[in-house]
Amino acid sequence: MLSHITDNLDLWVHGLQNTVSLTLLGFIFGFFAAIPLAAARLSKYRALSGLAYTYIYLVRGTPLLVQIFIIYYGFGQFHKELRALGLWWFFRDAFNCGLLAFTLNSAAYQAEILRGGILAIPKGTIEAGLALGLGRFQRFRLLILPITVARMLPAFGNELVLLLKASALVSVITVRDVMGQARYLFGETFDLSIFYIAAANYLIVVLVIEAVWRRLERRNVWLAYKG
Amino acid sequence: MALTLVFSALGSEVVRSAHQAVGQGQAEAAAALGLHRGQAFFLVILPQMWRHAIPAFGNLWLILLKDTSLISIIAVSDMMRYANMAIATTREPFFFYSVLALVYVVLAFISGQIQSVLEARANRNLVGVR
Repeated sequence: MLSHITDNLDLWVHGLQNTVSLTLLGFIFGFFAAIPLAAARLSKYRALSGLAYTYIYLVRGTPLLVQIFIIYYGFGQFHKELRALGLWWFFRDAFNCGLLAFTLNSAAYQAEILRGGILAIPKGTIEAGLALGLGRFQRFRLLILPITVARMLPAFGNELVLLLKASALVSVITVRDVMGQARYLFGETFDLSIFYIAAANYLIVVLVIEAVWRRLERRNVWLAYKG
Repeated sequence: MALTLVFSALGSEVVRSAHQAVGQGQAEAAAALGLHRGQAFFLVILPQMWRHAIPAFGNLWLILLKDTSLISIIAVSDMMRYANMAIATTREPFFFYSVLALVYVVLAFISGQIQSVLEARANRNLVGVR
């Protein structure tokens, strides 16, 4: 079993790089997409919040695998149009398609986390911001967002771990992540222990994420939501 | 098989937390009324557990519903596989995958409706609480 690691160390490292970068980039892009989405969801304009809700419902109501297939295979059907638009280089690459699917998917989930956090902020905080003469955008950037993120850290950690595990799905659309490499090596050797190695890879990343999150949560413990 | 294992692992956590949420006092009250353990559980604890467990089970159900799409990878004929077959003959992946996504959304919507009916039923004896 050990020879599977040592003989193909470059494959495993490459796979781990793909998995980690896909997960982290998807999470970060998703976060920045989630901010306007959550704002739209909480907007007082019914049309805007309805639109955001529809998007979130559609994304959360369908499997990630189907979303990945729509983007990778589905958009591939329009390759002539995409070529004309000059976007084909992006959709041609499975990694990009996976990243786009992850970003869109994670944005919906993170928007709901943000929404919950924003709704839980005490009115007094916002009134304090008003008293200091902060504008709407300043109040959001300096008060609401930091408090929300600090309080919702456990939920964001959950989302990151879920995203990491979901990242194994991109091996189906030919991306060579940890799972992709495992499938490739399994195809060569028919040795099931390769999948245990892949599982150990994911476990290590999860342990790292948990360690980082413990530190982050300890730093923000004074903001934590206490019922 | 794998889905059953995952679901039962997560489901037992839900049941455990629901059991804790009902509270020791209810079990003690039932014992004070002279009910034995089985009676206490089925007549007193279980009806109250539903109230806490249904939203969590609803979440689990939706996650499971979406995870069924994964088994198409190991060649079981679920909806995903039929969509793949349709695409192989017609070469219109965008249309069929979109239809598939829509079916999942409709299923999720129906489950949500059923869940709210069940929740209303589990909470029917609570008046003015919360």
